[in-house]
Amino acid sequence: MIRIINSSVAQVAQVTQKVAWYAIALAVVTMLNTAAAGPKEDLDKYQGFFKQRFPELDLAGLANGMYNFSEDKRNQYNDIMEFPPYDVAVEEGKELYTTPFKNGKHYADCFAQGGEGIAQSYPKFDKGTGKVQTLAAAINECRKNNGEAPLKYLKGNLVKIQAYMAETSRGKPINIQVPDDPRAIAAYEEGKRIYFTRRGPREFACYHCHWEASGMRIRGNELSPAVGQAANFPVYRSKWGEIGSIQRRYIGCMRNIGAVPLKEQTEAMNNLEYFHTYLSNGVPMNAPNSRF
Amino acid sequence: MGKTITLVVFSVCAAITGVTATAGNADKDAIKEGKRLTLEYCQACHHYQGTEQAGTVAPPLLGMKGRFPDRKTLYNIIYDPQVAIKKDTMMPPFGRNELLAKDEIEKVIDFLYTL
Ligand code: HEC
Ligand code: HEC
Repeated sequence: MIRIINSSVAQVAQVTQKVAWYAIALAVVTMLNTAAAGPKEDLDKYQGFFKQRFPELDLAGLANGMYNFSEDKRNQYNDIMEFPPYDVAVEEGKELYTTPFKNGKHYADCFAQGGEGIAQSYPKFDKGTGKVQTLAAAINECRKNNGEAPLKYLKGNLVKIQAYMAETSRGKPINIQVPDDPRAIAAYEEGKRIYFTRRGPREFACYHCHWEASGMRIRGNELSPAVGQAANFPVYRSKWGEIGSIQRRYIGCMRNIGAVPLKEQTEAMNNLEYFHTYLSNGVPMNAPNSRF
Repeated sequence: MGKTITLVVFSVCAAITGVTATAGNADKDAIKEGKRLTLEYCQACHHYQGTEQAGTVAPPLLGMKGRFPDRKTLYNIIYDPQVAIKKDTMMPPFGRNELLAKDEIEKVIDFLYTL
């Protein structure tokens, strides 16, 4: 934005006085607009980009990611989905979720609506701490408050519980709120900055692969569009042979590009998940899902 | 579409004028090694003759001698495309980040000149 303003100022020298004033006025208007721009304006712009790029796909369509761009892979996916490989994890997750803690309380006591149909609004900005809380962190907080040891984040029982909770949200549109609180805006902005920042020796940002290059191939891999990705997680991935969380997938992409991955459940990683999930606002949840 | 046509025209011109024949000046081993390097570092994104699982995120590499008669131009693109092409390109800065040594970039160019 600053560059645009500078260039209109630079043009002043080359045009007549009248036009110059016009340019300055325009620059000021641009500046004001920029100041006013926030998550809502971003979302219109970002989702607008993908709608224009893939006019034949609605938001729900976008969400099936890489399988939109290769018939072979779409068929393979459909075959796998005849017996969804995440079913077992959902069942185990439900079992874990409904088993009482040693103190007799339940996970359901920690969440609104007993935890059903709420996964689509995580990660959530927490006014109390001023930080973003992921669903995974909320599950562990619930355990802690009930005297139970925390679970590991990227796979295993915690992710199975998440898979069960996500299953109860299937079809509900993602609804991430960025409240008008400077701390929430700052968290959102940090996540956005991370998403657009180059990292590793090849200097790739997430944006390079999942934005303008989406729908095209890197080697044999069709690249999924950024909007929609978050609606699928957690996923059962054949490569993993088990269910895994979205932060596990982020770490995978960071490793693949030779970058030092951010650590799960750190503030930076949670802010990335906040921004990245917000991008999918309005996309119906289709989680858990399967990937290969 | 327009770009594809331009590329084709260029490569045809290059073939007719025999420019590509100058590739014969580079030694065979250098070209062979250059090709190996491109298969490792370039085909993930670029399609060109000899690729097997090329990506589609980048323009095809063809008619290179005709389109880039000055080696230095190609060298600069491979060295740091953020400077030589555009700031937000996804193509990695192979030279600046030492993903490829200087003599390796030269070999890559020797090979590109056969395309
Ligand atoms: C060099 C390319 C590249 C970069 C950079 C990259 N990714 Fe990926 N990503 C891929 C490929 C390839 C896949 C697998 C195919 C697909 O689903 O897009 C993938 C898959 C994903 C998925 C799974 C999508 C789904 O529906 O299953 C997520 C989420 C993701 N990436 C997020 C990120 C984030 C966040 C970053 C930055 C930290 C990032 N990626 C950087 C190439 C990349
Ligand atoms: C991760 C993707 C990627 C990789 C890997 C990559 N490139 Fe590129 N390259 C691009 C893109 C994308 C462009 C087009 C410019 C743009 O839009 O950024 C490009 C442009 C070029 C151009 C200019 C082409 C033209 O017709 O103007 C040349 C030459 C080139 N690349 C050579 C190479 C060579 C040689 C290698 C390997 C040593 C390589 N590239 C590796 C993505 C890549």
